[in-house]
Amino acid sequence: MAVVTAKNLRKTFGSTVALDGVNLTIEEGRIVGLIGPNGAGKSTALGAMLGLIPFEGELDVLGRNPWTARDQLMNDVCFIADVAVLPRWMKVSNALDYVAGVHPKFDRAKAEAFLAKTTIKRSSRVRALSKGMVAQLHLALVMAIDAKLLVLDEPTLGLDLLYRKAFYDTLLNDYFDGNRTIVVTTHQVEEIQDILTDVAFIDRGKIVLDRKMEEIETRYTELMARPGDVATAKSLGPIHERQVFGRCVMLFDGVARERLAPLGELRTPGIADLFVALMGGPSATASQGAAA
Amino acid sequence: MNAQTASNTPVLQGPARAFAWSIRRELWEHRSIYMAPAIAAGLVITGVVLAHVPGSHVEMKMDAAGNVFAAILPYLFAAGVILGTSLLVAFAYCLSALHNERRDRSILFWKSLPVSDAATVASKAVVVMVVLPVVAVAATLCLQLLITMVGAASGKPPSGAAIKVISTSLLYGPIVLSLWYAPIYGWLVLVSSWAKRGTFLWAILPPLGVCVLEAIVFHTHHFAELLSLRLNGGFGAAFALGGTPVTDKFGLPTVSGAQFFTSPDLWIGLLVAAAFFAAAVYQRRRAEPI
Repeated sequence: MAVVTAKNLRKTFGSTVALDGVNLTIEEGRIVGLIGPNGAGKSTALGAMLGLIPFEGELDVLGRNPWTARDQLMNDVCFIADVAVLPRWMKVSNALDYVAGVHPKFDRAKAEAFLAKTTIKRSSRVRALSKGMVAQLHLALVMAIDAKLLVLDEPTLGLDLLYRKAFYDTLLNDYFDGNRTIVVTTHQVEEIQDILTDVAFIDRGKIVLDRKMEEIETRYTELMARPGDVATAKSLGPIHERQVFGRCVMLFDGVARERLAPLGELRTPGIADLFVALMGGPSATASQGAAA
Repeated sequence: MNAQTASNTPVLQGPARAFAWSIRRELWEHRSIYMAPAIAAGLVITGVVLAHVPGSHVEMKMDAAGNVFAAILPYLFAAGVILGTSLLVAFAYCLSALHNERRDRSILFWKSLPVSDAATVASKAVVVMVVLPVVAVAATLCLQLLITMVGAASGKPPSGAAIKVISTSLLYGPIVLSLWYAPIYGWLVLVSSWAKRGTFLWAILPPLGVCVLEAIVFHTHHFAELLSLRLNGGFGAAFALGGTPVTDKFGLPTVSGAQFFTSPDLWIGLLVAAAFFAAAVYQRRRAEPI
């Protein structure tokens, strides 16, 4: 069953086109990474799905139009948009009370159990917590809601490595059960690529790639060509080339591994490599640094 | 275990329950709603007690038998202080109602919960038009009772006029605080839902600008008079001072419910308030962090 169906989804801000005919279907039980450069329309797309902004075109989330039925939709959809959006004046106990009060699918015991593993005190105000602790608290609140769809928009931005790692580990181990659907955007692609089942690239308001991770593994191959075989490799039509330590690294789309294997070393490209190749990132050397 | 303690007792269900929690949430965030009247009441009662200390240099001449005005002065003063405090709190509350959540980005948290924009705005309206007046009445009543007790303890029982002032302020407070000022609250909440910064200036300058523009272009002052009636007229409307003031045997004006509730000014004001709050809902739906 499709959790999210977008057909020709458009959104303009004045003369700026944020979403330029997005077509996207997200199936139940998937963990989808929505990846794109700054200003590509990621947050706009998520905002439309969550009923935060009006849009043109068709958009169906769990059988509802998010713009006209945001409040009902939020019974089944949870989201963390940005880090540290919990109100700073609120006490941790207030946050638990309030969400328990307004959300019919909130399991307070579950949130308490998660918080018990942290150093967060019930009597603390959010303003007294570190940024990482606020993220933990928000995750505790969200994970205790029995939602069908969880949307995470840069949920770990600005957190240190340990918090980021713990965030995604917790999400995968304690929350994801195969029936829920998660959509996540982040700049730290490498950190989430192992948990994704699907990846969608968005650029200038359009979906430029929408694939299951298995397909990516079978379809794309990266070849570090031996110096003598570079010309042969190039004749096979790489979609992207870059130089690493003076050697030519080429990315191939749909070229059989048997044909490439004699020409050098093969590996499966990471999402970051693919991203750079498909988005025509800045310079080859600079992008290598980002992907590493 | 904890799940039972707090989220149990489902007296209310569904949207009503969410609404009740939204109001509670407002009281967590805006403690001034009950703290400010309480502190003001504390200051007044301290003053009254000091005034009764024999030989105190602030001792007031409260002549219960002779001068009616002297006898009711502390009661009027108490009611006035609480009313003034509540109006200031209401002003500040409305201007921050839909602005704080955008400034601290917490709107992204509130909107992730199944509470509609209409319910959110309605909770703010209920806080300023119901909760705050109730707090004000309670504070005024407590204060006036304490004044009566202090007076009685020092051998001055409350006069009839004083009791009259007590009962009047109980009616007058909520009426003026909530119904008459509703369009002002609506305007302030609308400004808070829309202005990116400078909510205070946005609240004050446009109405002022209209007054100035009208004076320059048409050489008339209708809008200024309208504003003045709204700002100062609550008293007059409640006590029917504009028509034929009804006074009692003490020469004090009497609250005229009939005149107040049939006054077109009241109902037009409420319609304008409804329009402002509706516009605030429209704006809240599109609101983003600033």
